[in-house]
Amino acid sequence: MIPLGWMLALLSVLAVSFLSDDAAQMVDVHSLILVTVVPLILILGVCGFQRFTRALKMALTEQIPDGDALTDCETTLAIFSRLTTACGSFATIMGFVYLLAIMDDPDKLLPKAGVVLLPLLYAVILAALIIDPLRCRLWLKSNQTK
Amino acid sequence: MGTIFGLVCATGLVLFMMSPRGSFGYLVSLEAIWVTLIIPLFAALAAFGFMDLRKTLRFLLRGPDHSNVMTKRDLYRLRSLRNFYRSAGCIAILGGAIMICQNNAEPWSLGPAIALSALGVFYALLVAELLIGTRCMQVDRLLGGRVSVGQPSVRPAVEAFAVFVFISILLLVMYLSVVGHKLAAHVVDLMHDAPVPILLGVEEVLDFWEVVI
Repeated sequence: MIPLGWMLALLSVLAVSFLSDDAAQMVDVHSLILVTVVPLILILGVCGFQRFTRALKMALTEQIPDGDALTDCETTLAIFSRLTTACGSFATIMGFVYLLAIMDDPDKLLPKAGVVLLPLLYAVILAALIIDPLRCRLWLKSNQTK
Repeated sequence: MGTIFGLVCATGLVLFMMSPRGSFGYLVSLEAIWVTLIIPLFAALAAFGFMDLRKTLRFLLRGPDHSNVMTKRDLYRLRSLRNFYRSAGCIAILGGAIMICQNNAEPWSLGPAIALSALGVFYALLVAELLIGTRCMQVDRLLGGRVSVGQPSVRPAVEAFAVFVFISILLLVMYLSVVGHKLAAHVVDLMHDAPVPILLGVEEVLDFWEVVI
């Protein structure tokens, strides 16, 4: 069910983006790389490769290990979610600083403001549609008898 | 029954307050409905699985059934669903804001963007707080009150939303100041019939007032 839910959710986001008049305005490769690669590097630095892959494995497969391991995996994914959104917020604030440099030109200001908000949008989409469902799944798995 | 009656009355009151002329057509936006009402369901499908999602939705629409016992897992699922809807509201307002910023040269194309932004938040709050929030309280009460279950992470979305609001206010202030400055320069330009620098000094302002007076 996980791939189906993700696929439908992400396809829906893409469909809404492409239904708008100019789909290109919703795409920014730099922002996408920033909010996907940087949190990945940070989570590997914070939790380590093994813990992170174990958390992903527990969330994606049907295995049910003991409670402590599941709590650890849930914490790892919670940190990952926070890091993703933090990176989006950080990129948006950096973009805002860039906007200060071009504030003498109102014609450029608003289009750039749109681009500046894109990392935040990508980060919220990643956190809300991909990482949080995994985390919920882990919690439900670790509390099956409650 | 009482909950459904309360929900219908509250929703009707909100719609009535928002519609002084009695027309609800402007409260419907397909993009906003898709982003804020359908996408969270797909996220919930990924999180809960089909059977549990069906059970949650059935409980959401019909209320507690005496034949089955509510558990902490049910409460957690409801809270998670509410957080998915809140996050969808954030996605809608951010998407709409980006479209508004990038289409500002064409005022006639701003309608769908504003609708996605404003109506998305409206729908998300309506479902998350009015519908699911009341059910959460109901289950909480059935389980004995103030049940502590693992908190689904809504904080990222709320933080992102707070950052967005902060930046929007700053951008608005910046934009208004720049436009005001340009307007003042334009007025001076018209008065003097000659180009003026954008940044006005004290002497130029005094000259301007002399001309005006």
